[in-house]
Amino acid sequence: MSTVDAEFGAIHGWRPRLRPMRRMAFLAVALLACFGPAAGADEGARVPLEAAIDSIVEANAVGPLAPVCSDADFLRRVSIDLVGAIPPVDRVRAFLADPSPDKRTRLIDELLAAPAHARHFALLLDGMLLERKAPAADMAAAWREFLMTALAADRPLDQVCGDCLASDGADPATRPAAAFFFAREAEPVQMTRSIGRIFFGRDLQCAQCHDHPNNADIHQADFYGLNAFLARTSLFRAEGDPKPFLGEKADGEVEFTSVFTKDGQKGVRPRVPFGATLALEPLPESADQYTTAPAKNVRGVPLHSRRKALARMLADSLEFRRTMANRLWATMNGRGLVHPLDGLDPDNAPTHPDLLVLLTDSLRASGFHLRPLLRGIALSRTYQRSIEPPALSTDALAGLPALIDQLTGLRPQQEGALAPLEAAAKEAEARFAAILAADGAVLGDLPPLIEARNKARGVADAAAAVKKTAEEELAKKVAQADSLASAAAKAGEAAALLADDKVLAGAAAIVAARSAEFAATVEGARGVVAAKTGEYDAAQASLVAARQAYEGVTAKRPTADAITAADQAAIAARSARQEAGFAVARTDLRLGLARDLLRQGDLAATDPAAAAVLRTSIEDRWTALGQMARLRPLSPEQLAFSLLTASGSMQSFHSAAAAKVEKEPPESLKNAAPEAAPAIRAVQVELQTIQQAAGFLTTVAGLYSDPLATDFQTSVNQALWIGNSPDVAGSLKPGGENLAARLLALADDEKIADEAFLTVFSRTPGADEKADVAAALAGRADDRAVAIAELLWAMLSSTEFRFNH
Amino acid sequence: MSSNANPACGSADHVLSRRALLGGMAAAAATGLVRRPALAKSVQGAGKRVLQIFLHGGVSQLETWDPKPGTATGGPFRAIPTSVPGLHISELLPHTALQMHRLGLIRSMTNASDDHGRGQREMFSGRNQPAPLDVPDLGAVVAKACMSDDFPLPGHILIRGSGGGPGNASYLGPRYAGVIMEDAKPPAFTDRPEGLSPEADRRRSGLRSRFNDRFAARRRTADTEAYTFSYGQALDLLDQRKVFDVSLESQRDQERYGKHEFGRHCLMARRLLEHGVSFVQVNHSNYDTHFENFDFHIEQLGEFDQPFATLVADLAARGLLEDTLVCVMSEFGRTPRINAGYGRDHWGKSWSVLLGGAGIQPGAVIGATSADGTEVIDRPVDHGHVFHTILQGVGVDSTADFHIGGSDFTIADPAKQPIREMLA
Repeated sequence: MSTVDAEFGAIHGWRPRLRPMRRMAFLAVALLACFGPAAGADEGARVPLEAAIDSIVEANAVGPLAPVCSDADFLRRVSIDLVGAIPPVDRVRAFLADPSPDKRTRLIDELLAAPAHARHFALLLDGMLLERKAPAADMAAAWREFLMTALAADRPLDQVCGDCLASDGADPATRPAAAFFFAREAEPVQMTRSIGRIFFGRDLQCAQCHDHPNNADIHQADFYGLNAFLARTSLFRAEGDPKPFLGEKADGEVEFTSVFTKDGQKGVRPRVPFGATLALEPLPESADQYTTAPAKNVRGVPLHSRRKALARMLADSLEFRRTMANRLWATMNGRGLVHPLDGLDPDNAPTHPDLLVLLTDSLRASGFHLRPLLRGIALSRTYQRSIEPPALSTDALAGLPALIDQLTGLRPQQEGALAPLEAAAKEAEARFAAILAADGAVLGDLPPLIEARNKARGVADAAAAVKKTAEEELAKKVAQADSLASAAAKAGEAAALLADDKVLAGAAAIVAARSAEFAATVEGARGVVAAKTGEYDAAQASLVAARQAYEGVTAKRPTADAITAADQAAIAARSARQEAGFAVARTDLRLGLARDLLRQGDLAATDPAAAAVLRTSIEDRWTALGQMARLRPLSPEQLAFSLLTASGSMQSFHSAAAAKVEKEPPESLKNAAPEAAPAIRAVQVELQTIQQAAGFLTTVAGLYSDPLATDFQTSVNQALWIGNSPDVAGSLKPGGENLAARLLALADDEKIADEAFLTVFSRTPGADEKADVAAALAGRADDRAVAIAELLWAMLSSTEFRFNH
Repeated sequence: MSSNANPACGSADHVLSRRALLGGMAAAAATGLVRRPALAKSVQGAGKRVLQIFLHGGVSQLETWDPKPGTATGGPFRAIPTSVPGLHISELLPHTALQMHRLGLIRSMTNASDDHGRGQREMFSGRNQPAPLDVPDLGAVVAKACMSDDFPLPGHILIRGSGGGPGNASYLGPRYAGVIMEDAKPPAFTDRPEGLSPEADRRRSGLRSRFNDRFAARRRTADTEAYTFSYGQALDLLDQRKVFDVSLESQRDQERYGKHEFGRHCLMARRLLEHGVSFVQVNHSNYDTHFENFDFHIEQLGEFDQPFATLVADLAARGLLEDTLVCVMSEFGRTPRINAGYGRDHWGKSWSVLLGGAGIQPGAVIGATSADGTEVIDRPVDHGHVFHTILQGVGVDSTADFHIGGSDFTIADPAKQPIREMLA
């Protein structure tokens, strides 16, 4: 317990430092707080997430539920899902031998706290965000460290994703996140499609050119609403510096025309897909819309970045939360409640809409921390069910006629609820459209007013300058006049004292005359000042009038609160309509399944082939409804790390990584405060482990990865690699402490069978399997190492190893 | 639950519901009848093949397909008549000249690219770069559309000495990724590891089957069936490993093609095409002749001409040319202007590509350049049009979509079209 907690604390930088027992209490409270009143519980009652999941799945089950899986299946499954590899053999032995009833819960907590959990989810996020595009070579390490550090600290997912949208690469702390844009050259169309798919669960591609032909929910305006956040951003490279950054303009509106209908829209407002509109952008008041204006070799940084606005709007987007919740469910169950993950549409409802709502709300309640959600899913009976289809006993079928009656009664009610919700959604939509149109009309009136105001400001500024010049001129003249007057007085005095001096008297007379003449010049200048002051006052009055005209019109804009309220009301009404439609879809799914279950019994007697087809289809639907567990292939990374764990190479990679970090600690570790060092070290060791396994990982990813991670693909190249590559063959030869060496050292066939099965299959062998092993080794005293390699190869290449079950 | 099939933008005739498909596969698995997903008819170019000769570095159009003798840009070589009356090509290609009645030329290639990486991506993918989405190479597209599901050999093979792309399959997935034969040696992992006899391989496979059967008693799905099937395919491939051994071709043929690299690679290509491989690329490097363009072209084309002409003649003689589309291309052409080092530089503005065989009008000449070759004066086309044309040539509707995992992907650039007048 204490070791586990020490590890747990070590990587939870964001958590208050608590003593172990109090930490568990804190965690329990935090988790309970996350999942509020769920599933219609009494007010104040707190239902743990796992119970809420199970109550939805079990209440909607049609026919029997598969039993909860064996300890061995559970250990293997949850290890692959939470730490990305089969469990090491020591853990298998300990877990299978542990008699305590809470061992599954403790295992889940232990795995969630392990550094390997951060490694596995960092690789998952890497796959999700970059879709197997390689980050620029000089960014690959930083990108991975950014993800690993975030996962190790269970940083909120909205923040990690937000960084990917907001980072322009200039701040060293968030530069790695800009790899998300760099990997796609920041090309706005590609960014729109990727962000729509990854963050908002919709493939908007079709909508680039026209409304989606088959998905009534996806319009061309959706594509361009998202595009408007991204269209001002572009890749920036200064001359002589190969490093990319993102630059952004402060202006540039998006418009579109349908290739079919020729309808279109100008000045499309930035809008989160199926979510809030960025309606209240600061108006362009003046020329200084930039922190740094773009120029040749100068990166534009606007005062108000639309790209960063999208990042800020992520957490409040229902679609973002729902997409992420669906992705997490898919990570743990092999398929999303909505599948494909970017394919939510009215005709492709989630199998359990209320479960998706529960997960979506839980994600927000947990502050976008992944671990509480993963923990709740892993603890549920739904997650822990067996992959084996449940038996169809007479008992299991007995309740079906009643269920069919109930669902047949329910369906018209659900269907009936659709029309009013549809009307309400349309009305709310229209209200928002109206308020937006009103605002748009105001904004449309503004340009001439802004121009007039700016022009008046120019005239006023010019008049002020002219007035100032005149005043300065006057001041100069006055000073000259004063000087002349005083010179004339002095000269007069001198002439009076030296009365004989005629020359002097003449000069004094000249000065006096000049002084008298100059008074007129001063008067002239005074006149100019008066005239310019008049002009200035007039210009000021015009400016005030222009300002008032502008403000008078902007005052007609709907208030921010009114726009937001109408927007939110429209989103909520649409969502309510959508959920009601999804509920009908599930009723249909359940009804169809119930009828097929009754039908297949009769079919088995008359047409066994058709019954087998129907049975497969029933199993698919049971799996989709969570009544049995999905059999699913390991991801390339899970496969790679599982192969390494089974053969024993993983352990040597890990020790080598730890030794390397010890010997050459990176700067971040050297400079770390003592209390932060263990967490940083754990991250660095995992990064180094990936580095150690990099060649192997690249090979496996190259052979096994499906960039869209949608379908199971298998190829002859994979089988050839497993069959004939030195990578695999080498790992089956005895060496050091590896599995082959351990087996070779055992004399007894039964012990060999035990050790091999516990290590590779994470379970004990059955009697028939022990017999297989004995038969495979019989008469092979001369080439026992070869016989053992054959045995291990047969296990590693088996379906049992390739799939998560 | 209604189907989540997503028909293409606009064309709905090749819709395949993923769920229906999976249901069908799983059902097939349950009844012991495993089939891979069939492509809808409009995408299918079953049984046809593509041979792509890539003259890496950028071959000069003036020293090959579009000579301009006697002009300031024409260089020292003459134009010679070919087997197509009135059609002349460079005297550096005397053997190819005799095969031109089986082939066609595009003399009006024009695209913006004059960068090797970009030009190669554009010619391989048929899309302007940077593309809005990672897209598969021609080889992967051809393999996906033309290869039958139970074909034991890889469908997308790249033969090379050096250079050439990785054979990107993108969203089509690993089954269609390019398999590389470095210097025409067998692809990776088609040799059993040292010490593993065929008997031992069969023995361990027998044990694997026992484990698989036991697991199948717990759960059996279309995925588990496809997985076990792939190991059977691998054993089949090892049995057919001789396909990759060019030394099994007759001594006479080896002499006809020449013992040098490109000759051996062309003979290997013939061997693969005869065995039904859907896409074979032979990469011939290097034509990047910034200096001494003329000497280099004498040398390089001297190596290219005879094996290529022999390969075309052999494909025709064996009846394979009807179903095999042959194309010869580069990243781009070379500048008409001859630089101070007697070289020619990168030039995408007016250059040539050769297409012939399956679906291509024999002797067709598309477009033309100006007298000094500096401009396209008729029928400008680019990589996108060529990509469409190649696919149409092997019977693939290049304007259709692939449906992958519930999403639609346009097979070729929807902004471009096939060059109809070049198609037979």
